[in-house]
Amino acid sequence: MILPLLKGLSVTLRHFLKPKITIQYPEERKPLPPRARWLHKLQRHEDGLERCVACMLCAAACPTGAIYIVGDENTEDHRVSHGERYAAVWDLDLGRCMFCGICVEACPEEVIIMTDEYELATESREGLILHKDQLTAKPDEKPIWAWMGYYPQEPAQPSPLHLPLFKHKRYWEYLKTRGHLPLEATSSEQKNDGT
Amino acid sequence: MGTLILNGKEVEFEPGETLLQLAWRLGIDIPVFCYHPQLPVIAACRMCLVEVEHRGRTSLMPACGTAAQEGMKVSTDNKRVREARKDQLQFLLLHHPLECPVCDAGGDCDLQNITFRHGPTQPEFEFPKHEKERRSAGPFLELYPNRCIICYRCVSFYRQIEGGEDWGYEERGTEILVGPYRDTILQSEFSGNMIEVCPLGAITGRDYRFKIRPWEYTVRPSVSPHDSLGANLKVFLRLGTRYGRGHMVTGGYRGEDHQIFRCNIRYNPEINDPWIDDRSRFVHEFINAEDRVLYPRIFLDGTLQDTDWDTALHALKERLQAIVETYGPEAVGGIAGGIGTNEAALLFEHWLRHVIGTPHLDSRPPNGQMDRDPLVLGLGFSGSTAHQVDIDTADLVLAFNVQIKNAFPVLGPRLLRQKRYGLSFHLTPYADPEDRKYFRTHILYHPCHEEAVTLALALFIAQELGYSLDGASQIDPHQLMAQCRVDTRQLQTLARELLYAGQTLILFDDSQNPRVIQNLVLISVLTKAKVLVLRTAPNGQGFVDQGVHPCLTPGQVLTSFPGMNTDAMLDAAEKGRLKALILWNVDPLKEFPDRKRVEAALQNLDLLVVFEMFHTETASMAHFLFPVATPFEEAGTYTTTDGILQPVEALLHPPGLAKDAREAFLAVLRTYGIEIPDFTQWFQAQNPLYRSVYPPKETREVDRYPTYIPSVATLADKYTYPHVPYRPQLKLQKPSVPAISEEERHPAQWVLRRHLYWTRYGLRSPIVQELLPQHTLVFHPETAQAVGIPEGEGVVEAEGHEFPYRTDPDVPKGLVLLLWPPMKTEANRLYRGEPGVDVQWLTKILEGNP
Repeated sequence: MILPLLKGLSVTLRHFLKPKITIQYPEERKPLPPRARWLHKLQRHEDGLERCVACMLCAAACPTGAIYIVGDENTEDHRVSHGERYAAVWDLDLGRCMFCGICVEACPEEVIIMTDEYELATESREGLILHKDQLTAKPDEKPIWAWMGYYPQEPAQPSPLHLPLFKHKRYWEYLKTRGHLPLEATSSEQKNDGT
Repeated sequence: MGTLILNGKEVEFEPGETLLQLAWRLGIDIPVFCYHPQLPVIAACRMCLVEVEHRGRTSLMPACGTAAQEGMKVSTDNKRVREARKDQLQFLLLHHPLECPVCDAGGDCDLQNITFRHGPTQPEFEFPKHEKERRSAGPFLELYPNRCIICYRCVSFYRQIEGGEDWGYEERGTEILVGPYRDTILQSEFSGNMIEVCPLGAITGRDYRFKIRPWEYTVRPSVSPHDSLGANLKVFLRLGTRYGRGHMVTGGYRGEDHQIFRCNIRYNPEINDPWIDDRSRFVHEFINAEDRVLYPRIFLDGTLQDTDWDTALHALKERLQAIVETYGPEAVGGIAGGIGTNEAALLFEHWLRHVIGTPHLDSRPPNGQMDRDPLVLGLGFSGSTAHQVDIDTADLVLAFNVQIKNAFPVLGPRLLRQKRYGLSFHLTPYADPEDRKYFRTHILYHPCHEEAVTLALALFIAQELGYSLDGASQIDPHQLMAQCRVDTRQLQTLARELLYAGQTLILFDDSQNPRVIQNLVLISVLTKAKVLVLRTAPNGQGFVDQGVHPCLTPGQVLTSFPGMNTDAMLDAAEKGRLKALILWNVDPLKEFPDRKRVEAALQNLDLLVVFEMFHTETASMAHFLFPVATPFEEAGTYTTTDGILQPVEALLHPPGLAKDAREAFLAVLRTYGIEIPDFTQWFQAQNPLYRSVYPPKETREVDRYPTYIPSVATLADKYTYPHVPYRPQLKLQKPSVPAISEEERHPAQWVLRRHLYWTRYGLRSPIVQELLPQHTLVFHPETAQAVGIPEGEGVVEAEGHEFPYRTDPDVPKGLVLLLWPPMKTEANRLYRGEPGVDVQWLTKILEGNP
């Protein structure tokens, strides 16, 4: 009778002594894979103007119809993007989006980048509709390039697939900009990078 | 008829047919850029090259410009032709920038489609492309010379169809630029058509610019609500919910994203051909005007207060019944503005004539008192005997004091076409420079003498025919002509031409004095000319057909119990005989002459009920104000001025609690306990004229040019009345303007001028604000000198109001051009519907020049 009990307890004990795989979620976060496709971000040019030219190809490509865009014309007093047109409205309905990333591929201007921001729950349905001001990068924010070597014009780098994921410098930079890592960790990882 | 071999098959061709027409008729695809079925052959783009073997020679020929001939061997799709097309596209694409994602035409572009089907996969041109600067042509058009492939289609259209001269090409070779000659606003009311004529995105429209892409919109058929000619439109709008592919929602939805993006041409050979005017195309933003009435309102405690339909309608019924019990049903009158559907008009008529029991209702502009409609007296019914297409085949067109460009622009291309081979006369007090191109001859008379000049013309024609008309012996036509200062020889020539020309057509609008209309009808009867009455209200003819008319009941049946017309109703209200007035989409304070009288009349009323789409000045005086839908929000039928019934559907929901006028009047009747279970049947029973043509066929399909199946129901056959003899019951009357000596004559006379965008819709559309006229009054500098006001621009004061004026040496001396209807201004303080400028500031002229 005691034997099975000990047997059972030994399993518990063994797991108790093993390294822990759970993390304290809100305080601690696991780094996501670099190609994680979560919330969209609309990029800016380095001079702070928006990249989006409201060509609406993302909206056309979207299989669920989650994107709604209204274009408008830049004027001299009110210049939002480089070209003639800009997106006056760029709305994303998260209730419809299935994070397939086809909009990213459709975009001819490399505006849309999918980030790893996955905590998207809201209290209302209206809150699921994100507007342009919530989605666009801040003017002083560093542009996030296609950090996965996803595009051919990416500067020559060792392919991230050949490195341990967490050692990829751009990835850690990215996480730092997102505020997902404590500063110490960031610095230690940078050393680790060895570049 | 002959035969040739096309792609190895023997086919028959019509005489005069080109290879392109033959191939298209047989369903063979030949790509084109510069060819347009309604324009002359240009053969500039060389896209339609086909291989032709004829008389021992084989060569590539442009199919659009090569006539089919006996014994030809034509190949439209062999290797040589395919190579030629591919090379030609290479050339066309040399300097065409690759900006399809930001181009408005992207997705709706002939160049894209043809390149996709026939073109090279990769451009072989390695050198930098030409850069030409973007240009602007007025408030509507934006030009991208970079994108232009120089097909000359727009130039051809502008010269041939529109008759304009300020658009063309400059420079040569690769430097060529197509566009307006100067960076000014185009002097054309048809410029918007060039957006559609352009096979790519070199000409784009400002209303639609960047807002939406071609794959997102839904296209619905509609009809232009701006004039009574009823140009056919394709309306582009985004339906359904904002997110998702919700295009299956029908019946309309209104939201921030739900708006009309643009209006394009719907080909209808009976009305507009494939061209529409800029007003029909660009003026559609009025549906979102700030001053839309959103809720029913009742005048309570000194203000208009919002309420709901049930409360307001029941209160209205009680008030009306009280008035009817005290003063009788004849104390109620109704004036409609001629804006709305036929269905709503019939319900309005039913409510007033049968439920309330008053005979006083009218929808025509106030143009003098006459107990019976002169058209009914002369023709037997109130309407046109001609159709718009009859202009094309007319040998002679006589337009009497009509403004084509600013009031009836859709007629313009037809009149230009007619002018090329026929005679056209314009009898007018002022030959507007904008209208000069439409007519060959302008015969001028002194303004406000319309009656005298038409009477003189009628007398000449009668003399020529040897007829003696009743009362003609008392009138001397030469004296009349001296009075109206018209050239006798010109008028006599016109009289003879009218008699001896083959098919003649007389054009006039219904804002003329009824006695003038009577004379014109008499001329048409004497000369067997057809008459095209141009209704100034958008659905004026439909309203008359539905019996919103003092002496006609629905179906144009003469009533034995005629009522008062608009003018008489206003007089009766002023004298206190009319106690209640029901207005529908009309603003008498701003649209009728003699503001003082209208003010007195409206203030004298016990009850003023207004059904309106906008918060007009009259609406703010109302005791009951009901919101109704604007065009594009209402469903039903419109009748054109020449009697063509056209269906429209509701594309949007009206905002707030506003209702389609038809629903509003059904709700009114419901408060009286009247239910109409089957509306179509009821309509047919009420209106015998429309019985066979109502309801018209659906025009759901919006076909692309040139395959269009006209599905309009024509009333032409119904417009012959067997019981009314085709004989005028008219009598000649002495002109009401007394013969006055030169000394007594006013040195200045009114000429009312309309403006294309000076309408209730144009004033509420942001896109045309730049084009609105700035001056209420225009006159010759000498007139200004005589009054003692400086030349140039300025402001004159009359009755406590300021009116901006401008002096213009092109205006003849003695004329004062007045912008009409007043709309935004209060110009009806100046004009009282009488000849002569009778205002304080101009009486000084009399003192200055005795």
